[in-house]
Amino acid sequence: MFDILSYTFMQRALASSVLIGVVCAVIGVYVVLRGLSFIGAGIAHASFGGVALGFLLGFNPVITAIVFCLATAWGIGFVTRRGEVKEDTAIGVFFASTMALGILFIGLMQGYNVDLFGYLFGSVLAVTAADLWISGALALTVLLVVGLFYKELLFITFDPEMAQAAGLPAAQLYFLLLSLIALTIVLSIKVVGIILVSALIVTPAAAAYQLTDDFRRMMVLSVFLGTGSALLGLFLSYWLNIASGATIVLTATVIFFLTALLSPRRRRWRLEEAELFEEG
Amino acid sequence: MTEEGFVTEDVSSPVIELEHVYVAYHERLILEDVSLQVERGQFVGVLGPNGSGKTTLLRAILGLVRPTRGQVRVFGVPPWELDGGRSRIGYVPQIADIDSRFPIHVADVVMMGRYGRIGLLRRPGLADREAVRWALAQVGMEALADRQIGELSGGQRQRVFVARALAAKPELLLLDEPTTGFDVAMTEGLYQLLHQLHRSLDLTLLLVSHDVGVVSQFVSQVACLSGRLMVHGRPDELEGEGLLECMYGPETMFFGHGHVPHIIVDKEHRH
Repeated sequence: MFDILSYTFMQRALASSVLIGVVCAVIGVYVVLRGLSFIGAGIAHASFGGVALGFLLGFNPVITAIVFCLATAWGIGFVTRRGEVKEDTAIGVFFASTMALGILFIGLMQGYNVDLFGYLFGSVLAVTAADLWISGALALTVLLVVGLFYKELLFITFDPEMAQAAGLPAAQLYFLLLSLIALTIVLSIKVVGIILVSALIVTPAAAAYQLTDDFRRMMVLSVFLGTGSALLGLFLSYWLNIASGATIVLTATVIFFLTALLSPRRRRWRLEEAELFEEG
Repeated sequence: MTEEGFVTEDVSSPVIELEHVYVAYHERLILEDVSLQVERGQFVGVLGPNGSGKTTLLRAILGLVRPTRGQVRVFGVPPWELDGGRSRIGYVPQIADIDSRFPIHVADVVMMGRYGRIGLLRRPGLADREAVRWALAQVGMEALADRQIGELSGGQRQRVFVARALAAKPELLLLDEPTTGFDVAMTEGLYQLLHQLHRSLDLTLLLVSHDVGVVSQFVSQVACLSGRLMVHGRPDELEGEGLLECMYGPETMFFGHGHVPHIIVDKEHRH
């Protein structure tokens, strides 16, 4: 069964799956707890415009995707913070327009580009050495920043108003978090695909959330479940010959439902609700 | 007291000083010509109906909103210029927009009160954990330090937020409607605690509330806010009509009935 590991493409696929499993799971904890899932989906769709521009100009699409995703993340953050437009409205406007730009760029290209559609749905077996290096560098950056600002990111996720009142640069930290989400998305799209990447960010963290009431433990569990889904999904996709991104996401989804069934938190809440009902 | 105890260099200047402060938000005037002075060691209750700008007043004192006109000074300087960040001011926001299912324990929440002091890129140390234990002891919550916040009652949770504010060892404590959603016994309990902290820690306290009855029992000064600051004095000087008029407008009628004043508000004049 392990002879497939002797293929270079499979080694790269494994390495990039682990990277993505870890980074998505870490960022996912903040996304799930701060309720940023929809922003994640919005930024992911924005990467489509970036990837298409990369192909049009002959650049590495990852570079243009970084620019597009960061610009979209900051744009959403900026418009929302000024309080003139609601968050979900801002996301709706931004992600539709960046998708439209992507379609415009495709129209300007001669012919049909197969690679571009690989980015939409993800193709882990097409990961090149260069892709792996770029993903590795981005992953390291994201994890390093999370490590450095661990307590500040926790504070703004839990209680942004108090974080600001306590003298923390809450606005800058919020933009930092949005940027980390953007980078995580960019490093994952080649493998999981633009359409599915936000699921890989949300699902392992949501599963971990079912299992613990401790932040640090949630982070560790999320990484464990995220990496597990990525590896298991990769092997399943190889054996069953189906798209890697979809298999990885569906594996994570199955794990999520299992944890939801086993959740000690859910049992406790049900108990509390029953007590409240009796008191009321 | 430890080296980070309750010491101020400049005892003479008032703790809070607002001079003809105007705050506008989205072109709507929220505070209009508000002047207020709070001296060291005072326990001030700012009363006012909903929408009278009470939270904005606190946010102006914290330096989170800048006045469009007028001066705000805390410990003699504008609050955004306070050295040592804002750790000299403790803040308990109104029952905050907090997810009670957030995976975090009581002690971790209180530790957040130390983050401003610890600074960026540094981890909490022994002194910080000591301060957290001390703050929890001040509010009588040491025993629940390892509980997840969702397991606490509303009253216990509010005590945890008071402890979080105390953990930075502030000299000034600001509270925004600290008893929202509380029953009478819980409200009494929290005010008793604040009264006790005021005395034992030499704290200056300012709280905003719309709860005329309880507040005037516990505070040393009452101010009344309805867009502009109208009256300001000791609770016994302001009892009766002045206070009620501030809270409910000039169309208020009230009559005594036992010890509880009953208030009838002419609804057409409120909106």
